[in-house]
Amino acid sequence: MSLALFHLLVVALHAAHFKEWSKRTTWLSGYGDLTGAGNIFSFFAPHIGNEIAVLYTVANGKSQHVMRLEGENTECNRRIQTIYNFFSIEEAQPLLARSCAAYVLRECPDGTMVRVTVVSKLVPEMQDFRAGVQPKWEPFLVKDYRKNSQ
Amino acid sequence: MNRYSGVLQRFFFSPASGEPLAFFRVAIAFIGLVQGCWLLGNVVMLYGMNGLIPWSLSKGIVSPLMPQLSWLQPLANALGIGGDMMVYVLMGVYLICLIFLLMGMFTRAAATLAWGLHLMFINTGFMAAYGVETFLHIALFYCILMPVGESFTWKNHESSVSEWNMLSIRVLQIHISIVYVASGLEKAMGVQWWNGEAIWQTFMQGQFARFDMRWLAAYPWLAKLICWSTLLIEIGYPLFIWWRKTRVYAYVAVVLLHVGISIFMGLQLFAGIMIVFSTAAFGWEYIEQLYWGIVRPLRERKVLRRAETLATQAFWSME
Repeated sequence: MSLALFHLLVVALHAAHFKEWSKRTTWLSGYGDLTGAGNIFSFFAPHIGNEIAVLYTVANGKSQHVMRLEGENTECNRRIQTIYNFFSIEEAQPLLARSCAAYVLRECPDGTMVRVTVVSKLVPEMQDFRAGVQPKWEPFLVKDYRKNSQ
Repeated sequence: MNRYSGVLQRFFFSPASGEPLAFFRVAIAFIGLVQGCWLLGNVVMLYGMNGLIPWSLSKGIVSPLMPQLSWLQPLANALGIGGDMMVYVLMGVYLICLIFLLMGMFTRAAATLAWGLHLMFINTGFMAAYGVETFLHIALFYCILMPVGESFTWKNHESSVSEWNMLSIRVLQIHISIVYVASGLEKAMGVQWWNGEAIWQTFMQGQFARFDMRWLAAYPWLAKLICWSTLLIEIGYPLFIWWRKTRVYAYVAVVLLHVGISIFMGLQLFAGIMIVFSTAAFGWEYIEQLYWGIVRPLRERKVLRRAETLATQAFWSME
C-alpha cells in the first residue's frame, strides 16, 4: 500500500508540473518517465494552438514539385501533425526544419534541393467570423536546403 | 489510529473481483494492437534511424538514461540487419507481446516486454507522441504490476477474487481522478475555455474537423456550453465519480465526452483508451448491469425462440 501511495503521490506531483519546479533532473522525474507517473495532462490547454502545416518544394535544377508528407493514414497524419506543432517553439525551428528537409530529400532521390515552408492557420474568433473574417494560412518559416555533394 | 488504519485497510484491501482488471488487460492490448497495425506502414518514417526525427536528433534531446531504439543499433550491426529492418522486427515483437497480453499468456513477461519496447518507441519518436501514447505507457506499466492476468485468460475462464484486485482498482481510480482534475484545471486557466473559443478553434482546424462546423459561430452560447460542460465533467470528475449517488451520471458523462471527441475530432484511439481507464476504474459494474439487464435476456429470449422452433418442428415430424 505504501508503494501504491508513493506512486500516486508522484503522479499528483508531476500533474502539478513538478518538473518545472527545479531545473535539475531528479530521480523522481526518472521514476515518473519510466512508470508513466511523470506526465502532465495539458490536453488542449490552456489554449488551442494554431494548426501548422509544412509544404516541401523539391527541385533538381530542371523541374520542381510541391509535396506534403501527410497521406491516407489518419493516425500517421496525427503524429506528423504532432511533430509539426513543435515549429511553434522558435528554438526548435532550425533543427526541425533541417530534419524534415533531410527526410524529404532521402525520400526524393532525384531532388537536389528542398524549400521547407511552414504555414500556420489563423482562425478568427467567432465574433470576427460572423463579421466576415475568414480563416487564412500564413507562412512563418521558409528555409532552403541543398543536398550535400558527397 | 486503529480506526483509521482499519478504514484504509478496508478501502484498499477488501476482496474484489478481478473482472475489471481482466477487461483492462484485454482492452489495453487490443488498443495497442490496433494502433500498432495502423502505424505499421509508417514506422520507418516515425521511428526509423533516418526518419522524420532521426535517431541522432532524439539521442541528443531525450535523457541518455531513457531507453531508445538507438541503444539496439550495435545488436542490429552484429546481426547484420539495418536500423530500419530492426524497427520492423521490434514492432513485430511488440505486437506479438500484445497478443500474449490480450490472451493472458505469460502475462507479466509479455507486459514487461511490451512496456519496454513501447518506451523505446515513444522515446525515439518523442515528438510524434500524443495522449494515446501517454496512457498506453501508463497502462502497460500497470499490466506488469497489477494482477491483470489472474482472470479470464486463455486457460482460466473464471474471475479471481482477492484483495490485490481491490488495491489495483483503487490505484486506477485515484490515478484517473488526478488525470481528469489536472486536465480540467489546466483548461480552466485558459480564457478560451470560458468564452467558448476553445471548441470553435478546435473544430476549425483541418487536423480535427470531421464535419463542417462553421455554423457554430452563429451560436456562441452553444460553444460556451460545450466548453463549460467539459470543464465541469473534468474538474468535477473526482467528486461526482466517487460519490455513489452521482457515479453513474459522471461515468456516462465522461464516456459521452470521449465518444464526442472520437466522432467530432477523429481521436478514436485516445477516446478509446480514456473510456477503458474509466470503465476499469469505475464503470465495470454498469457494464455488468447492462449485460445482465439487456444483453443476457435478449440472448436468452433468442435461445428460447430457437428451442421453441425446434420443438415445433419435432412435434410436426412426429405426426
